[in-house]
Amino acid sequence: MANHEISCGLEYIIAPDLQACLSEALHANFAFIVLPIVHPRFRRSFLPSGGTVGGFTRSDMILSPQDWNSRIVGRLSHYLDPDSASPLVRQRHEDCLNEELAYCRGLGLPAVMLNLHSRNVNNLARNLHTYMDSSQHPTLIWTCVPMLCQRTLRAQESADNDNIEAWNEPWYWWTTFHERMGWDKRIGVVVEIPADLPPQEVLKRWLGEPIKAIIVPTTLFHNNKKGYPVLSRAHQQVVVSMVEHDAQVIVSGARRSNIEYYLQYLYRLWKKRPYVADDPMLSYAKGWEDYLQIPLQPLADNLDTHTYNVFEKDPIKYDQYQKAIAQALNDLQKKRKEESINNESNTEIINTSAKEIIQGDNTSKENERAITVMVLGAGRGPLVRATLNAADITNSKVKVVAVEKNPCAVVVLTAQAKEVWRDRDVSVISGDMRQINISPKADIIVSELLGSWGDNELSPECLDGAAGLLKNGGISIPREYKSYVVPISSARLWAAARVANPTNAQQMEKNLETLWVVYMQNKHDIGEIKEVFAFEHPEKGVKNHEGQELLDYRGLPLTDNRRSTTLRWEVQQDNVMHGFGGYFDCLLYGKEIISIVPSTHSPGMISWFPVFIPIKTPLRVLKGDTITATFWRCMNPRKVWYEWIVEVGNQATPLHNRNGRSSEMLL
Amino acid sequence: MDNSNKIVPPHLNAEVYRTDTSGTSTQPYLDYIRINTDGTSLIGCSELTGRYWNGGASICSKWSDNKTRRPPKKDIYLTSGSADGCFIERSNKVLLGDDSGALSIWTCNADDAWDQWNEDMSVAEHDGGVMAMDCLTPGNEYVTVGADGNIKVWDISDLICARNYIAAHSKSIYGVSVRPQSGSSFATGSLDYYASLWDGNVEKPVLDLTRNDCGIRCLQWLDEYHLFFGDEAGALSLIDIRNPENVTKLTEFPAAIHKICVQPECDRVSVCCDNKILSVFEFHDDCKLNLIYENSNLHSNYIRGMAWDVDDKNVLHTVGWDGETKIHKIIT
Repeated sequence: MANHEISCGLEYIIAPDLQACLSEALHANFAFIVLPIVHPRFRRSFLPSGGTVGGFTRSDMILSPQDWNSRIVGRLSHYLDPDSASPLVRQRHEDCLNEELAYCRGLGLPAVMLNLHSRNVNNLARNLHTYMDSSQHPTLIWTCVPMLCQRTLRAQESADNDNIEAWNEPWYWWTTFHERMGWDKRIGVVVEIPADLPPQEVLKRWLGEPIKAIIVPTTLFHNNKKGYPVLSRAHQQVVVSMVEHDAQVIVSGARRSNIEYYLQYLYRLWKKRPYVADDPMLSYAKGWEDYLQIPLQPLADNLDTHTYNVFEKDPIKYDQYQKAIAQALNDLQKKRKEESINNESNTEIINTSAKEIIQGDNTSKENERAITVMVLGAGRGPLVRATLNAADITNSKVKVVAVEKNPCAVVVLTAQAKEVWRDRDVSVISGDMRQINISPKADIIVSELLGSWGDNELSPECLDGAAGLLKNGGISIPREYKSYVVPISSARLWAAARVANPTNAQQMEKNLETLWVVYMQNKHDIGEIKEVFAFEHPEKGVKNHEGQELLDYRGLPLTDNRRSTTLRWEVQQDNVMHGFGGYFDCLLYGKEIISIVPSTHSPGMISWFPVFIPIKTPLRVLKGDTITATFWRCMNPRKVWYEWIVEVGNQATPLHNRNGRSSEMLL
Repeated sequence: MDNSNKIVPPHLNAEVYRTDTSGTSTQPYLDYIRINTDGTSLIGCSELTGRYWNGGASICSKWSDNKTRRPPKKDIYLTSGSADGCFIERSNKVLLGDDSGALSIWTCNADDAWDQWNEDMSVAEHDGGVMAMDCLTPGNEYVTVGADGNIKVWDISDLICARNYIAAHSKSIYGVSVRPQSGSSFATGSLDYYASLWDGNVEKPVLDLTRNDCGIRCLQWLDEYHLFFGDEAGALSLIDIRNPENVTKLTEFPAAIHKICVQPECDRVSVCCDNKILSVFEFHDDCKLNLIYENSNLHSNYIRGMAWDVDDKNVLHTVGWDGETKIHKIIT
């Protein structure tokens, strides 16, 4: 949410005097009002010929057009039942429904609210599809459901069960409807907060739904000592977490107190919530929630200076790198010292061969010699700076070689080498790390080539290609990294992915075979996070059937960065799966890690948002089902791509992105 | 029509309409009629399509025989419409339900030369409009049902909610009928397809009487075992609560059934729908209805309320959305 304020509306059971109701609500600082568009008791026969005389509701000229299209959420008549088993009722109510929808369209309302009462929603969905297809005005549909189905609860209590079904039922009404509406992003849900709150799992699942608003009935409030309406602590938490997920609040029901008090209370509640700005990620991500971006391809495309500027602002990442480099420098110095002591003692014991004495001299010289650190993909130089800092901290002598393929960044690096690093040993080499040959070789290579899903910006291919630049036994920072996934429910992300750059139906299909970088907020994890692919550096070569390591034409280990892995999750709660959340973590060196896996996320590190990996057809999963997902990392000489497939019971998605037809990373 | 001397610039038409409220005292829609034992009638009305959706009620002393009568004057003004109301024992005290969910008690002091009605008490506890009400014990306990799906039993002396059935139904409750000779038991019918039986002393429904295939609009007891109900599809059905699985569909109407009004002494039942037709049937023990009266031209809009005359068992009073009250003489 861009301006993270609480937005409250007031529902009128009936608005006898429209102007008075609106001005009362606005005067009390409510942002909008919800009211029936047609008198809820005004039954009428709808004749296709238009045979009725007189209007079926009051004139819209009572309010100004601006009020209609910014302040009013119209409620459709609550009696409408277009999915009744009786064909007669179905038809009559369908006609009235369309009459009301057409009237709402004429008013240009920002949103139309309707209620769901069962999983029987096909005809309602059908009519709404027609309405939305023929509507130029971007009206949202707010679908109102209770959180608890009382009837299911009553049926269950007699059966002496746990009452999870009663919490599941309305969720099913909503998701069935949303499914029938193609998970359209113009369709949102409005949940009514019940007096008795559900288990946490149920609440979390709701937080994964596109909740446009919550209804807070006035019955939930009780009066405090001073007589003002307040909510219980548990209800406060629910309201705050819903509002944090973009929900607006609708105060509804009989006036049990002055309406201004409700609003003032909600404002206070929102103001005194735990201050989120303390988390740099949260304030950094503000405005980017659920906003999808195509992953960068720094290998194929050269980054622009603004992108560099954004990523250099991460205070944590470079600090971690600096610590890792310092650790590596320390270790190398220690190793050299040990080697020279060993050599000296060897010299003393043996002390016979002239050759060995010379060797001993070499060792002590080498001890003096600078440690060569190559920064591969140096960009505008943050890691060069980190290396120089690490050298200062560890009091070691370094020779820094900055390798960069982007000509623009080379200009910047050269300027810095000439101006600010003129006293240091920094050289800049322009070229692709996979193709250049430099000597002396590096003791340490440092790179930052990771994407949001770890290897998805081709770090393995780059570093393996640059393996010739590293001495035998040299150190690579990072040393290893792993990608992770978790199956998630998020109609919002799925719908957003599908319609991103909607040029044609084919593009929609492609969009669902693509990784999206996104700060995910409106989602619910269906299982635990699990590891997908792991990579190490320096990488060992593959072995042939004789067990010998294979080398390529340059004599470097022939590596294989193809991968495949199958993961399984047992479903704990009925849900709908829309795809995966993807993360990575990375061991830089020693104990220094960087991670965007939620449980180990490096505090304050803002460089990476996770990825959303959609599946083409959302899958319904039931408690006890097993989700089986297989991921492949595939490659040919030109490109690298992922493929994936998901199976649940006997339903399976198609194989996604076969042969990299929709998304690929160019080598 | 005379010419007006007020010239409104045409481009300000909308703005003038917004502020010119002089023409809003329109003909109200009459919604219900109740006749007390002394013949006094209570007629409730609402405005449903005009600028202000307000309402009111008229209380008329016993009607003389003349057939056509002028629309009664409004005695009570309500800020929103009223779907139902009833007398509280005497004819100078009424209980009115509001579309806003409020409930109010009004009295008329016999000494008052102006016959002025005053509001004694009012509470807003229903979270949706009050749809219907019935009397559990006269002058004492009344039950109301609302569009919020709640049922409330009221202690009328202080207008305190004695029992509150929250989310009794999952959609609007359109009908409530107190079971004859029970004093605490009543049936409700809702758009959630269910008709349920309740006991004022028990928190949960005693029994779900039936699950219909569409919303239930109204219900009424014939005797302590037989319950009529009418639905959205226009079907009139009968439940014998000793054997609720067995629902007898009696007849069908071309529109949704709005109200049923039983005259127990004569085994007569009158029915009005979402149309202008009034039908009166005789009910026979073999679960057969015999149409004895039908009228479709006295009212020019939907008939909404019916009440049997207290003196003449062959007279039925009706009110409708045409703003008219009519008298039907049932000749058998």
